[in-house]
Amino acid sequence: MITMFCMEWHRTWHSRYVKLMLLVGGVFAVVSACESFRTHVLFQLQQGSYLQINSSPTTITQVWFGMDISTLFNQLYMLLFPIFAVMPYVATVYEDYKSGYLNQMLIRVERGKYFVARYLVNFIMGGISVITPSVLNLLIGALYAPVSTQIPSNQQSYIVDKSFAAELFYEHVGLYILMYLIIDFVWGGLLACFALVFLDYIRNKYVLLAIPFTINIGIHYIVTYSKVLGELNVDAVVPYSFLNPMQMNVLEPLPVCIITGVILLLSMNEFVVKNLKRDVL
Amino acid sequence: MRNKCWKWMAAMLIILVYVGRVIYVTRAYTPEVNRVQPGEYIQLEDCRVCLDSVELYTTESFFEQYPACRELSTYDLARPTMQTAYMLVCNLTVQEEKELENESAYWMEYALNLGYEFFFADFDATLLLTEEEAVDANSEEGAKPLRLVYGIQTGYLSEKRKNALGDEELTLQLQTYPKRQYIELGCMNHSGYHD
Repeated sequence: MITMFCMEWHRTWHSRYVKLMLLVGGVFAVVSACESFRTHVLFQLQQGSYLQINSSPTTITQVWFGMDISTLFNQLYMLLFPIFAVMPYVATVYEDYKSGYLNQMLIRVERGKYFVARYLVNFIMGGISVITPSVLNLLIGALYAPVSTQIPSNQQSYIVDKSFAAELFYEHVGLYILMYLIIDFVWGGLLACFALVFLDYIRNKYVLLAIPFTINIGIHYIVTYSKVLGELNVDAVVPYSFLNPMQMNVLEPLPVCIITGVILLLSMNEFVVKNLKRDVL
Repeated sequence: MRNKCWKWMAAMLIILVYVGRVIYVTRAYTPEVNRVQPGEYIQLEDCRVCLDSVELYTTESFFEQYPACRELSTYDLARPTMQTAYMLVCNLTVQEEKELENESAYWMEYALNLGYEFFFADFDATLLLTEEEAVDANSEEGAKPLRLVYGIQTGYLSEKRKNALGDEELTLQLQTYPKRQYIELGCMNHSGYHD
């Protein structure tokens, strides 16, 4: 299986979709970093207070688009999150499915291992694609903002005592960011795998790619505008909300873990188990 | 082979420059922490302040001790979102200042400048100085006693650390302003000073 995984892995990196998404992610990160620099640091430079110990610093969490409340890039990133996740590999899987490449491969390799390898590559590529802009923006932000803890009384974040891992945020901000990068990586992979569930049912590549995006944003808006669901805090278990490190809605670990398990099992069943039992694709 | 070596060296150089820059920016905003004991002086930009004592109260016992503070707004004392459980009272004496003014507003401003906020991430501080205390402090000759009160908002604290607060094992860090200094304090819990 390792051989098949490596083969698919190398093949993926030559895909135009991967290159496109990494480019888009890179541009997104750089543009948001420039905007954040303009918003937070430029006036300090003009006043001569930048890097002066007398001034109160703008910390890394205030300039990183994952938690920057002063620009729109956080919301834009969360909106595009499913697109970043599915774009690099799901399109390749779909094309292989339709072009007959998959059938050609399956008579040469072991069926089960091949599907598992492709599932894993899809998961990892989804995760990488999603966190690339986030990590890049963080690295750029660290060039001009100190990697230090935010002062609660600054009120520059939504993290309050009831927030998930609030203590971690105010004591070890680096670990908090790392934790969210891992959560986003896992969910990037999950959303990419979730798209594979619809591989058999949808005959258009672009509709397939848009499925996780549509479901994610659709549920979010239904919940937002539904009074009953809003009161039940259902938005807290919609990826659009809980994947955001800013935590405008507090992350609820148990429901999120359950949803994670369900999507994982569902996608594995649809892509790996079902395809194993089939004679013809 | 030679080309590969150059590529590695260039990559290492970029990483080194990057790490250096990140450390430089972070350190630029990280002042030294000076531990101050009661009876010692805090040298600020334009004045010298003696830290007489630091007392820690629960919110209830604080209001028993300082009933006048009950009249202040809830927001000033404790932001409702952040569960204020303890009050820290710093008794200070201002030794030398550049100029004296007879307006209490000056003292209020001075007090704000003196102990701006807790740096310690667990805590959020609200500073208040009652009008009467400000006037009293201003009316004396020579050294000026000053009382700063902070609400310690324990919303971010785990149960373990909340218990530690009650067990008098706490050290706090204050950030001064305008010259940013971090002052570390021990706490007295009602009966006496504990380091």
